[in-house]
Amino acid sequence: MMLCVLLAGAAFPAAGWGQPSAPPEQLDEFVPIDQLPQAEQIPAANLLVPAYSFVWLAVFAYVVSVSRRLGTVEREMERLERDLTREKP
Amino acid sequence: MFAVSPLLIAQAPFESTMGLVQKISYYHMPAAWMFLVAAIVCGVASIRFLFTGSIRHDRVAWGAAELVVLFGALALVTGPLWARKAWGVWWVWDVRLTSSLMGWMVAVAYLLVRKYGGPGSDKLAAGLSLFGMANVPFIYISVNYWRTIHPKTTVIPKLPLEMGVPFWFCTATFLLLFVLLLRMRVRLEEQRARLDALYLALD
Repeated sequence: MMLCVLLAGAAFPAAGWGQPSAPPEQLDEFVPIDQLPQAEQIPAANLLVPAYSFVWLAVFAYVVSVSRRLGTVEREMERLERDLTREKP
Repeated sequence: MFAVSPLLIAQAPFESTMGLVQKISYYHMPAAWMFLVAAIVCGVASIRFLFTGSIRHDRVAWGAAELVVLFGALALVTGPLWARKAWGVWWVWDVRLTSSLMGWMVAVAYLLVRKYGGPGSDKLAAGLSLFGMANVPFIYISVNYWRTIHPKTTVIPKLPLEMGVPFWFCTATFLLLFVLLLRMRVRLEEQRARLDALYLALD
């Protein structure tokens, strides 16, 4: 559940999710990039870096999550095995 | 391999129309493929669990369902980040994106059923995963048969060598990552089962 909330939060980039998603139009002319409105001149790195960062962080978070759960279970198993050994005459 | 992949990606040439942002594809496409592979593994393991009752297949299905959520999230986040620059919008409700989101939600539903479903939730979730698996071929071929802005599947075989090398390296990396994570997750369930057996032995 926490993973779902984390992923839902991470899916909305800081640049803003609330922008209307107008359908892309078929091009009939080419416009040089310096004549585009300022809002459309998004540097690619502002999208590339968060994409790669999200992948690395999500994979790392999942590995840590599974490792922690596994560690908790194995510690509990060791404790129970010690208790069982002590109970045997 | 995961640590080395950015070096290979940095050396790949820029795509002519999309430029730097196209390099998101070296993680986006392998993540999407692993999302589909995980859904198939979950579905096949669920079928085997339903027919044989073997608990080992159930553990594999559960682990694979978590990986469907993980890799699906990777694809569904990196895709819109790429789309914002390439298409001018974060999201479109076309066939590929919508069916992928639905497949991801089926996997989330699987995990919720396993966590909160109570007795019998293992079989109920197994049945649910079959819908996720049935969705996979639909997701894959949708871009070839419906009108969509998403690139077709023919892009991959036509990749030039300079782009193909980092792409297939990343695909192999993600595949190995999937196998490793699945093994870890199955081991967790095996240890939980041993823990339950120890508790029963104490009583």
